[in-house]
Amino acid sequence: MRLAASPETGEVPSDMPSHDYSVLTAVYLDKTYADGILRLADSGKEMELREWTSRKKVEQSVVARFRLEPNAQVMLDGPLLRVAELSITLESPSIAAQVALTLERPAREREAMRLLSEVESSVGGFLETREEATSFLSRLKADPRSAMLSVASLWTTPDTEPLDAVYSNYSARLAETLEKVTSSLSGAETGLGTPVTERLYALTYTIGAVQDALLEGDSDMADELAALKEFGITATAEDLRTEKPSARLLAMAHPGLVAMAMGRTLPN
Amino acid sequence: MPKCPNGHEQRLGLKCATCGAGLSYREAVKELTALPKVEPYYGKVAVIAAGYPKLALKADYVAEISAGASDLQSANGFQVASIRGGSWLDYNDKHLQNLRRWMTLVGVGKSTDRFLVVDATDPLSVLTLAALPPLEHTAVIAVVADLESTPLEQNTSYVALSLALKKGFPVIAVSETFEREMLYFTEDEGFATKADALSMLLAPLLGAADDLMDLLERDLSLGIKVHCLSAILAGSKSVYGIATNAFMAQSYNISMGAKLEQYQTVHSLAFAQGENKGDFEKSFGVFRNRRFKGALNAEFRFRETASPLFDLVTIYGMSTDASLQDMTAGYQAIVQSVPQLSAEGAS
Repeated sequence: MRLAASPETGEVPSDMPSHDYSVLTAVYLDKTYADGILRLADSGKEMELREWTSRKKVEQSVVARFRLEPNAQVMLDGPLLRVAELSITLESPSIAAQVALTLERPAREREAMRLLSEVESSVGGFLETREEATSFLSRLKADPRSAMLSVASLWTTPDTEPLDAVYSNYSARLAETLEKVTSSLSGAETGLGTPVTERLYALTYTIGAVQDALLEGDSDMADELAALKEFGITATAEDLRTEKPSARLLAMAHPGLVAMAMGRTLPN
Repeated sequence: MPKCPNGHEQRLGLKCATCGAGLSYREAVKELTALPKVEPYYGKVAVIAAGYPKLALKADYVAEISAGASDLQSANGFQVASIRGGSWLDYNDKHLQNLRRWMTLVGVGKSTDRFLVVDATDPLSVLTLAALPPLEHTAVIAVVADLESTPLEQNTSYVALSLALKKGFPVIAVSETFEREMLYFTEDEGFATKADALSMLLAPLLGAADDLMDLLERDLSLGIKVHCLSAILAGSKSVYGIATNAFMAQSYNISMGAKLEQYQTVHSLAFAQGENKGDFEKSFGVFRNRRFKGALNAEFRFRETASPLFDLVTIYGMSTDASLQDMTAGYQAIVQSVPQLSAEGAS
């Protein structure tokens, strides 16, 4: 973690949620400060070392302001906490631990976003394959001959029914891509947490249900739309009849998933 | 379906509607690998024209097998690159597998009824008949070689007809001469000859595909595999008077030059206003008694139309030998020179 100290550029913005912690001592750039305040943004990305300007402890001045990078190394030793050039002794080991947790939040967030991106990619791959299959089946209903000619390359053994060969091909691809999803979710569950993982399974299934409803020609898709709303996705039946609805639904669910994943990164 | 920890199943949603517990989709998501079953509908009547371009036909599915500059496939067409100087054997050797594959992909066998309209003197007719599997409810309407055709045309025609008969397809045969001389007139479209005339002739027949296939298959069960036909299109009472006159008139221009005693069955299909049904039905009886008393079977079918004009089509069941007699000499002459061009080589 690198610290950028620039006391003259101002304070941690007052609208940014933050907490103040009493600092017994702080050592920065070989100078010791006693009886100070550590103002730490809840995001863990910015902090200020402050000191009282008078003995009456009415006003404070900023000694140093730090913009923290996500890969910051935080060392904890009882009430003592070290972050690069700054060493601070807090009031108790538990408070120091809480501060350390907040400082490590950006790293946890970055890891959570990375994991979320990976699992969303695998879920997206599965849903895209399934959407390709259900789109083909829709075309098959409307114009079976043209649809079958469009997938002629999938029929390679003359003694099978062409449509069976197509179904078989799609089933194999779906099994393969679903395996990637379950493997990805399994690997990410520790980092993302079970609620996020369960939510992704549920979202995958629900978007699959939307695909089936579109294939069936269900005109109002009331159940599916109500289910999507539980994921924070507001859509109409018409919205779902446009091109590549699965990718758009996944994108619309993303903010909710991010919030869930980030909420998990907050210190208790 | 997703389940809550208490075992309640529910189609969608995050919470169980029964107990409020959270639903788990971990196992349910595996169901998505099974796609919904779709039973595509291919239509009732399929018409495939081979070697006979520019037919204007109406059916649930109409496709054309043709030859052109290059190989091209679409849902409604299979075009092969022309083979210069090529015989039916050359076309079979080069294109048979591909045509079989195309026919399977476009579900030729999935329609309820199939009608092949072929120019049996064209090599493509042999290719098409060789590619088509022996499906039920399939009939062939063929323009066939006659005594005025060349031996090569007679050979191709003989092979095509033999293939159709071997696969159990009933055939309605129209001689080349009859096809060449076909001339129909309607007020809205004027004179129609050749392909236009054939289209006009086939239109009412294919419109009554159910009846037509029923008659052909019943005759097939009596061992009658080949028919010829005669027709009056856009006829009017003012010209023919009573329907009996129309029956008699059309029987003097039959599509194959067989002798009267060679006809074993006779069936008529009339398309006219409903009020005329009785007249046509009675007249059919008179017609049959006068000219086809010894027929093994004779049936009349009526289809009501709104038009004041009528169409009358009669099909005559004939012996297979009689249908092939005009082509046999030419066929054998070719086979003597080129033994590979025998009917056995086409299957």
